[in-house]
Amino acid sequence: MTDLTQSMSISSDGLRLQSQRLRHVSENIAHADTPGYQRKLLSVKTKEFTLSADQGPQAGRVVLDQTPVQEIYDPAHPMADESGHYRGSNVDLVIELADARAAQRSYEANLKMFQQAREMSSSLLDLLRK
Amino acid sequence: MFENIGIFRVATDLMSHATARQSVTALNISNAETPGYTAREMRDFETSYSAPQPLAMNSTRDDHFGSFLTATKSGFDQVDTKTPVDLEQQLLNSAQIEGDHQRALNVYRSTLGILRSSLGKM
Repeated sequence: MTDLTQSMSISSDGLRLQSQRLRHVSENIAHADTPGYQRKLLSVKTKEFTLSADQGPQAGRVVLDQTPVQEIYDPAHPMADESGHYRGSNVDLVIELADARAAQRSYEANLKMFQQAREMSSSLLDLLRK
Repeated sequence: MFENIGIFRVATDLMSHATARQSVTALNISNAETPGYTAREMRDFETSYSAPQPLAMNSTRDDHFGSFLTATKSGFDQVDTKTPVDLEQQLLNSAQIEGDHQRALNVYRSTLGILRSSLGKM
C-alpha cells in the first residue's frame, strides 16, 4: 500500500509539472501579439538521481527565450520607428501548439498511472468486502 | 496467519512485486522530461522469485561501488537501465502490471474461497 500511495504522489508531481508547463504555453499564446514579449520556457530541475531516492520531477526556473523578437512592418502602428517597423513578440504559434500537445500527452500518461494506482489499491480493498 | 500457506505467499509476493513495479513505472513516466534521468526497471518476478541470488552484489547505499542493483523497501531489485525513458515501453509495462496484479488478486480470492468452504461456510 505504501508503494501505491507513493506512486500516486509521484504521479501527482508529474501532473503538477505538466499543468504548469501548459499554463506557460497558454500565457505565451495569449501574448503572441504583445509587442516586446519574450516567450517563457519552463525548465525542469536537474538533480542527482539515485536508485534509493524516489522523487517526482520538480519545476525549475522559468527562463525567457532569448531569440530576437520579430520586427514587424506596420508604419501605421503607434510604436513603429522611422523605418516603419515595430518590435513584436518572439512567440511562434506552431511551436507553442506542439509544446501544448506534448504537455498534454505527458499529462495523460501521468494521469493513467495515477488511475492505475488507485484502481489497484481499491481492488485490493475489495478483498475485504466479502 | 495466511502467509504460512504457500499459495497465499506467492500471491502476496506477486501483488507486492506488481505494486513496487507500478511505483517504478510511475516514477519513470513522471520524470520522462527531467534532464539526466534514466529509466529504471524492476527485475521480473520469475527471476527474483525462483532464483534468489544470495551472493549477488547489492548496493544498499548510494556510494557503494560497482553494482547497480538496489533492493527496494519491498525487497525487489531495481536496475538503472542507463537509457532515457521510453514512454511506450512504460505504458506497456503498466498494462502488464495491471494484469499481474489482477491475476494475483484472483488467485488470492479463489484460494480464500477454498479456505472458506473448508471451514463449512459457503
